[in-house]
Amino acid sequence: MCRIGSIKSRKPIHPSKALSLMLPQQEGHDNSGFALIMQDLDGVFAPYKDKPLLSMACTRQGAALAKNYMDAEGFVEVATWTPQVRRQSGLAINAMPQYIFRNYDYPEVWADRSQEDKEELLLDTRLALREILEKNGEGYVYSFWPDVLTLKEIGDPRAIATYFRLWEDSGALAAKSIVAQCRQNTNYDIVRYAAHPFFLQGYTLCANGENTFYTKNLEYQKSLHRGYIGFESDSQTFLYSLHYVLRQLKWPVKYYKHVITPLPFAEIEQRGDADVLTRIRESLAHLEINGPNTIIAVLPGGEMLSCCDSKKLRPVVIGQDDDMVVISSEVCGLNNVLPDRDISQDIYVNEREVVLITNELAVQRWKQ
Amino acid sequence: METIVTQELSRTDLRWNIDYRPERCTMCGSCVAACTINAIEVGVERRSMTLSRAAYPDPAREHMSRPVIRQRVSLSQACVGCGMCAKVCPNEAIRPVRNPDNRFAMLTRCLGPAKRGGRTNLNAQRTLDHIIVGRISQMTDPSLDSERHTFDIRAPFGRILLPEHLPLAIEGDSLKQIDRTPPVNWIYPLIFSDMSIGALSTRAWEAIALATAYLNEKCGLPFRMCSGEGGMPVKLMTSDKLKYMILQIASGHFGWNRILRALPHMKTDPAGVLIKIGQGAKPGDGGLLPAAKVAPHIQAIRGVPKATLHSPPNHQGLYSIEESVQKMHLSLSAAFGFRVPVAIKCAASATSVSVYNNLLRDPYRICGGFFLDGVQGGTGAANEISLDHTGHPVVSKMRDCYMAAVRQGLQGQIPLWAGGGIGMTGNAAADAFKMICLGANGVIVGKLMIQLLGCVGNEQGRCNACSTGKCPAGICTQDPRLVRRLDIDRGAQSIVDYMLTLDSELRKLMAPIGNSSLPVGRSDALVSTDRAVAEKLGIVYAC
Amino acid sequence: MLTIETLKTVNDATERMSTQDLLLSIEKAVTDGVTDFTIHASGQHDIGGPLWNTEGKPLSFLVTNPGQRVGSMCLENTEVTVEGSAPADVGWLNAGGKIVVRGDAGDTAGHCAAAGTIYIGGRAGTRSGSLMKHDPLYQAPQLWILENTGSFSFEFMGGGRAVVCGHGCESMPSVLGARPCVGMVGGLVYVRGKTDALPADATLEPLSSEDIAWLESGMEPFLKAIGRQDLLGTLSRWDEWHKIVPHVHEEKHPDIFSVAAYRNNEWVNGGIFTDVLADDFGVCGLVARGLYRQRIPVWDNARYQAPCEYNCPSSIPTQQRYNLWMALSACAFSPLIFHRSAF
Repeated sequence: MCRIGSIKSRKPIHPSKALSLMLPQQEGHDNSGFALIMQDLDGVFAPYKDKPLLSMACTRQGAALAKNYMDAEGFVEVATWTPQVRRQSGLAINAMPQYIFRNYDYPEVWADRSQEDKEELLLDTRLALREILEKNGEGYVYSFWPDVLTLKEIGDPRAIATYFRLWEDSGALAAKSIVAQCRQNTNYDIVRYAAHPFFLQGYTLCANGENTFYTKNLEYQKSLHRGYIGFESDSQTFLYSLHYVLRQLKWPVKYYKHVITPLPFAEIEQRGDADVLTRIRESLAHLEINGPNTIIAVLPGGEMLSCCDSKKLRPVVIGQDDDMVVISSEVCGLNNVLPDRDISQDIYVNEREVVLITNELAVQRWKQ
Repeated sequence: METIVTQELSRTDLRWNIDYRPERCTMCGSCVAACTINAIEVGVERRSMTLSRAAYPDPAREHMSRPVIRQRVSLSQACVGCGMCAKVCPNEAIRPVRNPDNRFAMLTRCLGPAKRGGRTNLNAQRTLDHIIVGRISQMTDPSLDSERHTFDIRAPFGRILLPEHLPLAIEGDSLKQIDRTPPVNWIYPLIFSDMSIGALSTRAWEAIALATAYLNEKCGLPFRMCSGEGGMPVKLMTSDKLKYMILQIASGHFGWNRILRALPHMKTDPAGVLIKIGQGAKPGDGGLLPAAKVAPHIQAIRGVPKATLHSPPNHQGLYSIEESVQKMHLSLSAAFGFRVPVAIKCAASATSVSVYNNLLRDPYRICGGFFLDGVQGGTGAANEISLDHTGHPVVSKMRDCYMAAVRQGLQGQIPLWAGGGIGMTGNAAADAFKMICLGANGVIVGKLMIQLLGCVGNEQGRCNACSTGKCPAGICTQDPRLVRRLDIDRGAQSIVDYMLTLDSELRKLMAPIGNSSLPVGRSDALVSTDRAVAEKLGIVYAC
Repeated sequence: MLTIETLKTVNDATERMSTQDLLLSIEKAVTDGVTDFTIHASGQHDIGGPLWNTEGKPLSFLVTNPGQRVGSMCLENTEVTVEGSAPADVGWLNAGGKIVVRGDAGDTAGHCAAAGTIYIGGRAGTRSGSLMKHDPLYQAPQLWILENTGSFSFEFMGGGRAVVCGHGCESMPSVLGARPCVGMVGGLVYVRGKTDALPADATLEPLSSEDIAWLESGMEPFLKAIGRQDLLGTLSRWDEWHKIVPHVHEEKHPDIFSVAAYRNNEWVNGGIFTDVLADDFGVCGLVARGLYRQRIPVWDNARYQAPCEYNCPSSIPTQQRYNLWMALSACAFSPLIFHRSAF
């Protein structure tokens, strides 16, 4: 299994904070990769918060292909940030030739379109770029969304941190929300797309454990939405279910847990909302997960959420101080970034619970 | 001595021969009394022997007449191999032996098309035995404990809606159901299926009903029983046990007068209604109840005189599949105030996917289940030609239907139930589990139920005399002398005991793959040791 | 006294000592005769055991921020104290050590412990106390928890004593989480506060005087170890306590309620077909005698005769009976219709 963690902070924080969070949890993963998604950006991206940010790793040819496409579609480049990588010999990293983080302006004809339309455009653009690059094996497109940056690479997280100079605070990279994970996560092929966190239209998700209903989930999701593709990791299905329940069905957030880990029938029958819960369990039986999992997600509004499988087969703990709330697989990660917090405020999320952290860092918890 | 001509019927022509050992026989006559077919009789044989009767050798040739038990040489009284003679014999002096060189199939057709009951004797292939639950939780995720963890072993019977069609409205941070949805009952994923009053003796039918109620009330397992097409006992309909029953309506519509007249007196709704379009054992042929089994109480329940009862191969008055879906489902749903799910059962066929696709398009959201019955399904009576040569294996057909739904994103909307050969080798839990992983919501079993009651029939031509009214176990007969052979309590108890074990066996299969709810469609949990099976079903080949 | 730091900064980057390096350096120090350690850990696993001083001197570890399995496989004469919280598997397979966690313990605390003592000064996670055992050659293991546990606690417990004090958990529906003690076959769990429904494996019982004496003798050392002596009075109101006792093997066979009894008492009275067919549910063997004998003709006289003739006390003339039989034989299946007759 892998270790996952996330930080939501009042003040912008640097990715080294996420590295510090993951460092003491090294024995819990296989050091095969590192991935993070940063949101509510500061640093070099601060001026462009409303401009869609493309996060991409590619070859030189891939960069050209992407540029051609974006130009043809009428997207206008606003800013580009290129990480100054440390090309040091002996680093255990399987690096791509180029890493592109580029803000765009919407094509002129889209300027007056609704927010919803623009969100569809951004998804379609990412899917199109992905297809173009994938066809020729020229690279990977992780996210294309305002104020969201994705970095993923295969290799030892320490080497990746060194390569991207993530320990050095140059002031370029900072965010108020970071989700991180230290593994080239998949039990299947080694593919960059398989490393979580995953991102889709404002929804970010990272999970550990094995999804034993992967095949069921996948077979159902394939026909639900054009954005539900890839499935390189069995955890992508968690993101797609989250997106489906909240964005497509527009159901309140508490029903996500009811969809992925429905209550046993015997318990549903005792509840006042038995009719609704029964309908959900019946209708979305194919989105149930039934293995050991912890989930960390970020919603489009910026709220951070965590929940577990119904048998609580994976660990997770949430700690907080006045400026920060941190979610971590293990408490030793928390201790490293929040050594002086009040541990009696720590939350050990249980099998029936959902914990949601608002943008004001208020912690809401409810029982499924 | 009699003159025998070559065309004469002889014992060597019959399917079963009686292996009789006169030296062990005490002439008690039990075998002759027990044989319901009248296939054996007491006779006298002439013997010539050299015996020595003194204390010293004194051989002398003697001629004697000896009473013996012998097989009748008759097509209508041919031994069926049920083995009751062997069972009752105190001395192991008699038993039926299969005769591989028999000419029965050629000779018996002089009496017209051969009819029998039971099951196919030709297409008893065991596809499911080439499949193994091969994806076991090891390291990547934990197995569960089959005895201590909780498991939700439930399957839907009823029409399920796509999430975007659910009548849910957001109120604050909650959803509220603002309109009705089709009725759905979550029941045990194994239905005691479709054997009519008439095909079964009153005691056999009641034993299954009794076991069903017991399993619900004493064991907390929501098993359901389908009535079959021969109507329902009025006293059951007016009791609260009706809720465990699925009522069947087939082309003959037998018994529905009493069902409708019982409506005002029902204390509870039945669990469902199953429209039988076809049956796997004799697809394209209607129900058949030979006159021998149409006893007065059957006449009463069905509203017919004593006669051989044929049902038409299809429902009169249904013009098309759309008609079947709407007209039939609508009428039966309406009869119970739209509170009771109505499903449909068809014989598996090369056309099943088309039928299922039609149902899935059902705009009325009224079809509460698609039951597929394969060629290995049972029957009380059928033409032998139908039993052995018509039908379709159910495993791949059910899988095809599931995958057709998957391609449209409609899996689970109309629950798939499959039967026909489930539990043939006695391992119904394994069969059911594999079918579920392949996409079935649940399975239906019939022959297994009567085998638990004491039926000795099998796929190798043993007994299968269900059509004759001479069932040696008192199960498929209305002859009160034979029905009296069946101990209702013991029969029901053995069903209960089997199902309790089946339940723990299902958990023993769910636990290793780490699932606490049914892995419907989890084909990744299966591997096949047969490449052709693996390829056809879309599962991994392993060797 | 040896102090070990496990994090250092090199060129901005933080470098961490691996579990293997840390454990090997501890082992070497123990071999060299060091008995007291302060370890500023950063998530390294398995700190504290199995270690022993060759002269039998006690070993003591003061640990901050350990990883999983702190104090695992601990032997006698080892004392591990954790400042703050520890992740999963605290005291896993404890074989005699004394392990104190001043903060919370993660999931499966005390898992498979078979000896020694584990003190938790806060909460313990899911499946805590599962599979604890008691090796009769040694003293039974103890697991003391100040607050509560996560769900599925004490699963498959086979021995030892656990104490869950429920401090500050008064508003919780269960201080043992959901579904505690499933599959419990041995040992005892003392608990203060509400508990979820117990499975058939165990029952909740009041304390005996022996229990109270045992708890009284253990409570003070526990509270002292975790630095909460102030709670002694609060936690010593023994009427607030219960104990969970597993059923002994022999008790686990519930009464079997037969189907026959069910049919007689709870099934549709008399049977479901009585309106169309009388049946006393008597059973015949394969060789039936008397009324139910297979090979005697079935008489349907009651159905086909005039009542006077049928009821005639002097029976009927032989030739008429013969005629009746002939008439009935014409109908191929009539012998199969059985009605009780005077014959």
